[in-house]
Amino acid sequence: MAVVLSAAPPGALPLWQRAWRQFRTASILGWKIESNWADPFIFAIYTLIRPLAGAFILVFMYLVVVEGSTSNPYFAHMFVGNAFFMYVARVMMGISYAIIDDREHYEMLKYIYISPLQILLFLFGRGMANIITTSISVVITLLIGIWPLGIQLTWGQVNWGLLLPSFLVGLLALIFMGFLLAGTCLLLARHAWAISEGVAGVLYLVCGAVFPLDVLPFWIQAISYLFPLTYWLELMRRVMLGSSFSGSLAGFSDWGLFFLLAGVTALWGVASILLFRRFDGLARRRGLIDQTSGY
Amino acid sequence: MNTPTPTERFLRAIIGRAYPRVVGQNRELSWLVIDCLLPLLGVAAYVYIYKAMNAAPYFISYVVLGGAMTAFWLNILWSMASQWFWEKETANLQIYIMAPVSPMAILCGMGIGGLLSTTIRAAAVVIVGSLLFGVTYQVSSIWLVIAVFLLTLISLYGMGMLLASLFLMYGREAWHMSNLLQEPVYLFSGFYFPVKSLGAWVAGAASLIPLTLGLDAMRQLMFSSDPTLGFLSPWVECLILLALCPFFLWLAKLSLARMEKAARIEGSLTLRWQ
Amino acid sequence: MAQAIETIDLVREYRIGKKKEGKTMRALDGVNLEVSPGELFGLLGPNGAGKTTLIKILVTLLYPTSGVAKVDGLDVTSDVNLIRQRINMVSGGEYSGYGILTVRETLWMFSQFYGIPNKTAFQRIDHLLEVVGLAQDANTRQNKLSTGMRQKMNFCRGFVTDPKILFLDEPTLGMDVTAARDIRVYIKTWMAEHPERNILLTTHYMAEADELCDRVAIIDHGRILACDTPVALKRRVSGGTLFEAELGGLETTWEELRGFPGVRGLSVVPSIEKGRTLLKFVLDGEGVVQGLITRLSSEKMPLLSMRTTEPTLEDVFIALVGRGLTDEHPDAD
Repeated sequence: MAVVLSAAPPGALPLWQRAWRQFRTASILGWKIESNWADPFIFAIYTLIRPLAGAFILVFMYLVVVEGSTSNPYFAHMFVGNAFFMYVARVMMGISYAIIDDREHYEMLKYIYISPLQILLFLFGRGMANIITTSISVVITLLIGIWPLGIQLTWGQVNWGLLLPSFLVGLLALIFMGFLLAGTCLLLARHAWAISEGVAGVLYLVCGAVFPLDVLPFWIQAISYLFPLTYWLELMRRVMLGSSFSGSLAGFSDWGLFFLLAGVTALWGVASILLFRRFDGLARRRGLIDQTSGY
Repeated sequence: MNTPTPTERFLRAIIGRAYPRVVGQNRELSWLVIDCLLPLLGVAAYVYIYKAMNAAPYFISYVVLGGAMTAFWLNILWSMASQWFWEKETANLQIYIMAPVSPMAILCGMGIGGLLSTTIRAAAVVIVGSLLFGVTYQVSSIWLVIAVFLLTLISLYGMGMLLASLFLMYGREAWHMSNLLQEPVYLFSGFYFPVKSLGAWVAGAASLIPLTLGLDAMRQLMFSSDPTLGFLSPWVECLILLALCPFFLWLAKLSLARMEKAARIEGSLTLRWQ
Repeated sequence: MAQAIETIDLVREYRIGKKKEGKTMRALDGVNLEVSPGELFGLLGPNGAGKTTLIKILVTLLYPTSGVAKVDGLDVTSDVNLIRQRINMVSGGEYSGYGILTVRETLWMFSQFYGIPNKTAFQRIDHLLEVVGLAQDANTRQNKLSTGMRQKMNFCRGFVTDPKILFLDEPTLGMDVTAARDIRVYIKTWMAEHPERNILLTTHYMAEADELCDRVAIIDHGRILACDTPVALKRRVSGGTLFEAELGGLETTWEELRGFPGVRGLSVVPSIEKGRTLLKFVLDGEGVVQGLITRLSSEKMPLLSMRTTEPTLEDVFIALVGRGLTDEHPDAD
């Protein structure tokens, strides 16, 4: 019989308190795993080098081809989109890689499964460390964008009222996508750990992270509208830079775009949780919860 | 009982370790999606960046080739450099070290197995990417292209062996180091743009990564593009790669011996759960 | 002729914590050991005694901090490659290989690291799989095997290279009774078929060591406390009296009884399922028994049964160390 969280033993803590404890424990665990391997200085470099390298690839692509100035608004849109896109791979990775890490490396997944723990809450907690470290990377990347690269971003033009809700809903969308990937990882071999990076690469294309959607073929644009990240990245650019990047989304008001983001995120939330449960069931049926599959 | 010669043992060990890499690919078909389809779509993203910038068509060719070559770099990082980390966790590492064969043979096997499967993946990206984005080839010397490609791979996998030996001492750090190196090498080796634009000094330093020169030479030899975008002449790049091959293999052998000794002193060969 | 295994004042220290703190833990504390060719030698000791550390040094995975260790007359620090051609090791509770390979493929892969021709390798593999009862699963992928089957496969890995000296570190750990018996039978058969070869077996199963080993060394806290044949070791406690008492309850504080006049050693074995505690005493003589019964009768827990027994290797351990093998669990081995 499956043990569910609500079937609490006598004298147990209330549901919300247990949920909080589970989330807190998973978050601390995720942080310890991510940060215990090096001293804080090296860890800080690590959280900077990789994202900055990604950003500078774009800078050089732009400089080589356009031979233009980085103060061009087009470059600013590209740079800000890329900065926020850092969350995509890192958050999805944090959540989905926990499945492979705990299953094949620490061999703990089976024990997590047999405890009265909400697995999705646990995975969310495991992803928290990546959310925190990526936030640092994003802020620093944006600051480097302002100086020395000189993108046109001033604090006065930022729509602060919309920034926080848009950011949080976008993050929620990423967490849901992370759940879906985590469910997929349950069914795949260890070498599939890179799936989150691969999917992030696809989203980089489909969601128009660094170019206007209009440049994509019509059929890819149609797919783009299915992903909350398309609206999120556009919103973050509007909130930060005050203007639209994609012509096809220019017709929406800022709040209109926000509600569209919220709606699509809600649909993804339902779909990802249902699909995770489906994959989870398949993994149990096939006996994959404690598999080791390296080669 | 006939005692096998050291050479026989070395060669058999290579085949033995390459085997799981080769059959693993056939038995876990998820790589078709994860290692072919997803990277191809990732390459497409960079193609559309150039399209959005109205770049010359040869930049798109550069991206397709660079995107294909990322498969080798990822294979080096994740299936060689940090592989000992996994091997240690599954208790295989101690068996490899305890075997009467140089760990270089195990690494060679790992590399060759990975090379065979990665070549298929890279080829898939080149073929499909070329068809999708209309890449046109104008090969000036097919033999030089083949020589550059092979020398790039030999020196790159030599570098992979060196990284693996350096990471032998580490546990989870190895995984993070690979993570750390991934994107910066995309940048400094010019996977998505001509490496010359980084400036002579940076491009020169980045030439220590075999992919930098390999990519630059292959782009010059395979596409009709602006001749001023090449960093060095393809022949010079070929010769440097020729020198890098023994250099990395020698360095890997030296480093492996040192690291094994250090690991035996520290007792870290069998330390798990790091 | 050179000894199969020889250690002289062997010491191994591990660094604990950060380098600059300079803290060390001594896992081996001057081990002296000689194993002659053809011996099946047992190393008995509780968790943390230093058994695995000793094996790691002998199989060239670990340098000693000081002292000498030789395998087949070769030094473990300088003749590494020559030693590796002669040995193999199996650690119980550990698996090896890749889940994606079949049992037969996995064993073949490991045989290749020793340069064994395919025909010979497959002949040995098929024979070994037959012996351990895995023949039917030869083409099953490793990640589909049960824990016991994977352990059996790992056991076969040790023999497939036909080593001159084989190190078996707790080979039956976690195996069911039948599987463990099969493994023990094969060990005996292999030794009978290869009388010039050696097996060094570590275990904390006393009966296993008693049944298999020509000689046994008892190790605790990195020191060899005794080394002899099982019969000779048991004879050492024959001057004393072995007395067992079973009490109804799970009291855990028995330290006071260790100081009871005439008590040489005491092992406490609680049975949580039965709610009983078995006390195994090594006494100076039968004269102590009466006083001990009186003392035990004063306990709150009822005295359910008592008897004097024949010595086992565990009694040897109790007499030497003053406690049983499972009485304490230091956290390192």
